[in-house]
Amino acid sequence: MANILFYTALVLIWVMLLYHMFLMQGGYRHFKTYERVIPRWKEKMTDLPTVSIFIPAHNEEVVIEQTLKAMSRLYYPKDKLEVIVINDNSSDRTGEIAASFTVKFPFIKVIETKPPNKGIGKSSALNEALRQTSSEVIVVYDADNTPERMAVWYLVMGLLNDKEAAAVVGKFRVTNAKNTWLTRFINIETICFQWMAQGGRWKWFKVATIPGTNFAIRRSVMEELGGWDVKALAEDTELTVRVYNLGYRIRFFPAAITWEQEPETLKVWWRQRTRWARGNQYVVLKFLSQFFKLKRKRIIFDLFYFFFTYFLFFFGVIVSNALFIVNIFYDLHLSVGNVALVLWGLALLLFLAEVMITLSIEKTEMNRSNFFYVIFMYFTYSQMWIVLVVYSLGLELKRVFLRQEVRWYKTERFEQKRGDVQ
Amino acid sequence: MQFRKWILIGFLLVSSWGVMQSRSDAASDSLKLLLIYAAEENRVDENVHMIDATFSAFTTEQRVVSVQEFQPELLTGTDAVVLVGDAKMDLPAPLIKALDGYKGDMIAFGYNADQLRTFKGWDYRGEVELRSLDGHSLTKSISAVQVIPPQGSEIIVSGNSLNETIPFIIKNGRLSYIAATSFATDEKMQISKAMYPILGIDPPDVHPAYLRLEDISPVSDHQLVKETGDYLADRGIPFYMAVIPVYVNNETGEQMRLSANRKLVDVLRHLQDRGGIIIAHGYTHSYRYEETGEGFEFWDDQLNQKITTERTDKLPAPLPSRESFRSQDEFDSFMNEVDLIEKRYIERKHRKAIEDLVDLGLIPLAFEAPHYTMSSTGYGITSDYFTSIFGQVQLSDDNWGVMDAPLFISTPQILSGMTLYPETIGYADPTMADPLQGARESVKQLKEIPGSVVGGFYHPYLGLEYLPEMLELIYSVGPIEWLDLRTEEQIVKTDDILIHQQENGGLKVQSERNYWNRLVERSKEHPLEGALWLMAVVVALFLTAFFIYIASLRVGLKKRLFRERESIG
Repeated sequence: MANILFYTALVLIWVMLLYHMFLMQGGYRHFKTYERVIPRWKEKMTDLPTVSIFIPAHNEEVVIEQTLKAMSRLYYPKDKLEVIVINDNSSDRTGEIAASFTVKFPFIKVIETKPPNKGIGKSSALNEALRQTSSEVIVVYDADNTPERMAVWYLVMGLLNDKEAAAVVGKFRVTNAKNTWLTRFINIETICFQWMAQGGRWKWFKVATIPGTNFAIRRSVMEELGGWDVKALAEDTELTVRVYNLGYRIRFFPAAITWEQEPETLKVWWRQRTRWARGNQYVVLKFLSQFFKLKRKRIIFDLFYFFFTYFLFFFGVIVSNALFIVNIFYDLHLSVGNVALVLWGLALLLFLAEVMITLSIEKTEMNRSNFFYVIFMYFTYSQMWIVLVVYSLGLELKRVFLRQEVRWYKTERFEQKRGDVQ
Repeated sequence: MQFRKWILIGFLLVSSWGVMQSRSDAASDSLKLLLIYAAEENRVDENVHMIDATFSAFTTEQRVVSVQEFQPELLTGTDAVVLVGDAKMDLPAPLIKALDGYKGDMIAFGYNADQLRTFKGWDYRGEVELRSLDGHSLTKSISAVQVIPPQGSEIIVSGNSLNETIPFIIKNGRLSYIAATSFATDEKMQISKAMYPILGIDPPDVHPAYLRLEDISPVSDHQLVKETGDYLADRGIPFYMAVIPVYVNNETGEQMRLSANRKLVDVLRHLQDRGGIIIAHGYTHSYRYEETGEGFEFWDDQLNQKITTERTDKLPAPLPSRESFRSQDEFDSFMNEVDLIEKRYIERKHRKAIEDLVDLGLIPLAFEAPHYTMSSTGYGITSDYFTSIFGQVQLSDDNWGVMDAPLFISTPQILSGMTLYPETIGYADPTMADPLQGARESVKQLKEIPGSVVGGFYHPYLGLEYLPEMLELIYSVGPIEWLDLRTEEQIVKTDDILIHQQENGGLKVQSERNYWNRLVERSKEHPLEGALWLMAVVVALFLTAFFIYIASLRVGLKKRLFRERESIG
């Protein structure tokens, strides 16, 4: 019995690890090749579409100023660009600060959300902006984002050159990486996520996920979809599935870069990640239940990935840890030979290698301190994920059984001490 | 250099002198013997087997033929003929004629000797029921031929019926006669003792002796094994360790390999270094899912027949008798098929047992069948793998219970060339009021028989409780010489392994097996584990590629920084 459990856990864990290994290979290939198209694609950048940048902002006085500064410097014809700050029920100086920019930069506008979309959450705010604008392309940035100068230009370049893509997503980097040990971990984590999950999946399956910020989507598609799902906690994942279901794809184009803030305290991180985990669990359950109704099977793969992450892999890790602990006190007679030990070593090496590749891709990130952070991360940050999934699974189950309403939690911002990024 | 070499050779000669001495006492320089038997259906029964085995201890060459198979040419060059009359029958005329002209020694057992002119002066008078031999009453009375030998004959042993005394073992010049073929323990003792006067050999002064630590399996307590082994090693005794490389749990069917018990492996290696000699005691000591140590491995004890299938989930059909076939040919071809299955099975077990042990650095020099059971065909297969075997011999292909061992180190024909080191005194049985009672009685009898082997075994799980007493018992037999297989030539081999123990103590172990072999083999047995290893290899390849990527990214770092500064502006 213990043996069967152990092998099941081992297989579940390794299906996941092998998949990531495979993704890493793809991600690396993508890194080596994604820039090759740029010279050719530039030629098409003559008749540019109109672009609206949506910045949902709810009490963002700490960050909105630098965000808009970055927006003001974007490289894109200003007659075709509008930056919409969606002031959603803010009680602080967000509106005021934004308004000061509209004076200097006519292409920056502030709109206020109106009932029924007022003060509900990100999705409603975005829907409000969608209703009030008419540009051909919609770009979304979170209120703490400071995109690089060429970011929007590259996003549009992707859309213009890839007819099958309904959306193009760029890469995001962390501004406050060096502030706390937590942001160091998150920095490493996001770099990995982008090159493995985004880059790898794009290279192999032409699949990428909308990350909630730094992406451009065609208005036509957005209208076809009927806007954002206001019930979704992870509106980005949810939107991704629906885009693929329509028959479009989402391109990952890392040339478009934005910088964003990450939680500096564990409490904020915990609340943000709980929302993500619950949101993704919601998406898995929502779409797996209509599994056979999904028209585009490519995305099923991705749903399955989430299913694996939040249910199977998680189960495997829990079982394997439990067996390990029980085995310390009571001999379970596990008939596993050296292979289990070798695999454990390989798993650790694989983790290190994958993280180090992605860090090396990001130029200055592969340094000595990060090397030690990566090793430390394996035993700390990575394990926190287990606790998080248990917790969020509990919350999600409670919601389903008690029929609770979802509350959208906005990630708390931190004041930047280092000033502008650019 | 030359000088040192000679000293070394001299030393080896002296040190192996004792053993050579005792062997040459038992087996005379050259004795070629022809054993001709008359038995029901021409089948070699247990009596013929035991006579063959006992004589083989004294001969350098020995052939066994039935009276029907006999050819006069077979007599050429033989020093002696043994005529075994296990069944009363008319001997074929060519045989009578050839034997009548034969000038060598002749030893006749039981019936039919009266048909030979050679025994003309002997007055054969029919059968008598004997109740004692040489004053020792028999456990079971036997039927013997009453004969009045010619004047001047030496009566070596006489027997008593209820009311008279008759000669039982007689020698007259080149002729000897033993009045029965029966070879139960009492007769065995008498005949074995009489071998010296019969063959005209001087009896040796010493008894070869050995002690085996029995049934050491992966679940054995390593401390007890060490304790018992060290006890023997401390006393300079070369001892034997009957090792079973795989333990089968009879409840779950799960297997545990010796390699999983590192401490025990270390102990066995340690004891091997101290003079302990490994005996391969089967592979699992079980056939179906019996517990290791309990089960028979090379005999189907539930049907009491040889192994006929490798499927252990259900009982196969009992082997049909000869009568259910229309012809001998049909029966033979059927049995050939069965024998093939048995062959495959036994070969696999031997191969794996030897491989597992050698892989762990444990070098088996001999074999011992679990519960001493195995068919005659099984012994034939085993002789391809081992040159020595310990224990007793199963003497019938129909019933495992028919088993015995001669009292001497011998080479019975049924063992196809293997040398048998007989177990003669049993073991310490803690369930008895006197655990060593059986051994005590055997030793008492063996004392009377010069050159008889004092061989017994001891279960290490008993710790030291009965070991000193058992040793004392062995020493009580008189002068003994501990048997050391490392001073005799032994060969143990599989397709991939060759173990060659030389007489001078040198040991050569050649193994073609490498880590890769073992991995592939283990993978076949445990496909899941094999798949995991395969995966590990794939992952390792990817890891290599990944580290190359990291290196190339590091190398290209400066170039990239420069280029991006240009493109971003």
